[in-house]
Parts: sequence; structure tokens; C-alpha cells
Amino acid sequence: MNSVSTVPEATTAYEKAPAPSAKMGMWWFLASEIMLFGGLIGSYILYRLASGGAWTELAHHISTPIGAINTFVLLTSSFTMVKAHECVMKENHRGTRNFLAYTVGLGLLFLGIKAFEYSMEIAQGYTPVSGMFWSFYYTMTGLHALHVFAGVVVNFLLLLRAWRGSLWPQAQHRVEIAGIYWHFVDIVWIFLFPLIYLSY
Amino acid sequence: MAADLMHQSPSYFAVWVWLVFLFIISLVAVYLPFSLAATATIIFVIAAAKALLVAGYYMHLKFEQKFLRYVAIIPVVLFIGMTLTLIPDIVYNR
Repeated sequence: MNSVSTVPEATTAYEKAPAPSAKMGMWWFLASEIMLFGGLIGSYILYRLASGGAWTELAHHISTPIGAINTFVLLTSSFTMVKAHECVMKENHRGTRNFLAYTVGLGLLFLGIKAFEYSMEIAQGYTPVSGMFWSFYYTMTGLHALHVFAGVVVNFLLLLRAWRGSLWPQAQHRVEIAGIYWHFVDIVWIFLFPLIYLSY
Repeated sequence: MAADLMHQSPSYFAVWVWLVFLFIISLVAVYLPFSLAATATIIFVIAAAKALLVAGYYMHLKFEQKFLRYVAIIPVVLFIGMTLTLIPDIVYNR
């Protein structure tokens, strides 16, 4: 008598996929985002190398302490986001709500500090049209800030669902997907910080 | 699968501690008496290490199938290649 395997083989494309659809879709999206920020960062590096030290002088006008505080805020928000994911998988409702709230709060703190920093620089006369260096600075950090804002909105919507108890049992995977996006935003800042705030 | 991920990954707090430690090292490196090129190399190597920690452990890429790692790494290779290719033209030929 032939032995029969009790584990069905994957036969459809969906079953053979390396990851669930939502996760695959988020990673494909992030691949395009890497090209977006990579193009900006690469162009900035090229122009800075070509500036012969002039851009290094201009970088002195950017506040390293403010950038450092924002880096710490975003690193910590990545920790709270992954903890929210851990809690949601363990069906720890209270932990999920708390860590999502911390992540939203830290995201808003990052944006608030960024707004304060921009207002300081604009008050000193450094605007997006003050030259190529400032144009790059505002574009790179502004685009990043927009991505942080989008992440804050998504995380807040997940927090609302967690408060209402409607994340489980069908939608809890959304926290992981939102987390992958949030960690990517953190990684972009991990490179923007030394590029803009430390390279002088 | 999710339960396996929880067992495989290290303490997320330990990863955060490493991230903060590397962040502090990169701040200190700026004030060391090295050339700009040497300092830039140090801080970007540290940034790459931090990015790998976040991607590997927080985004769980270390535990995902290889295909996802290719999806993540190929655009990075492309934009680094684009930047390096343009150096002779933009940096030295203006």
C-alpha cells in the first residue's frame, strides 16, 4: 500500500509565493522607494563632491543636535513599532495599543522637531531657493518627512482599530506590513542623518 | 510561521541598544582628529551596520525567503552603481 502524504503540495502561484501578497506588495513598493531616495541621495553626493568644499561649509549651518535628537526619536519608534507587531501576534491587545500609541507619538514628535528646525533655518534666510545645497536639503528631508507623516496616519488608523478591538482576528497582519514601511522610513533617516548632519 | 519568527529573532530591546550605541559612536567619530574622508567612511559604515540591524531583525529580512532579500538589495546596488558611474562625469568633468 502506498504511503500518502498528509501535507498538500503547493500548487497555485499564491501558495508558492515567497511571502503573503500584502508583504510582497509592500516590499515591491519599498524597492521603488529605494530608487527614489537613492536617486536623491546619489545626486546629492555627486554635487557635494563636485562643490570643492563649498557645500561642506554650508552644512555647518545645519543643527547637528536637532538632527541627533530626531535620529534617537526615530530609532526608538522603530523599536516600539516592532514591539507592537510582537504584541499583536501574541494577541496582547493592551500591549498592541500602547506600542502603536508610542509609535504614533514618536512620529509626531519627529515631525514637530523637524518643523521647528525648518522654521529656524528659514528665519536665518536659508530657504529651498537659497541655492542648490539648500534645495537638496529641503527636498530630501521634506520628502522623508512626508513619508513619516504618511506612516503616522497609517499607524494611527491601526491604533483606532486596536482600540475598537477590530484588529483581531482578520486584520492583525496589517501591523506587520505597516511596520515594514515604518522601518524603511527609519533606514532612510539612518543614512540622511550622517549625510547631512555629520559630514563636515 | 509567526510563532517561529518570535522564537528566532533576538530581543528587540537588545537590537535597540545596539542601534543607540552605534548612533553614539557615529556622533563621537565626528569629533575625532581624522580627515573628512576617513570620518565619512566611519560614519557611513556605522550607518550601514544600523540599517542591516533594522532590516534584518525589525523587518525580519534575516528570516524571510531569499527572494525578498533580492527585492530589497537589488535597488540599493543599482543606485550605488549609478552614483559611482556618474562620478567621473559630474565630479571631475564640470
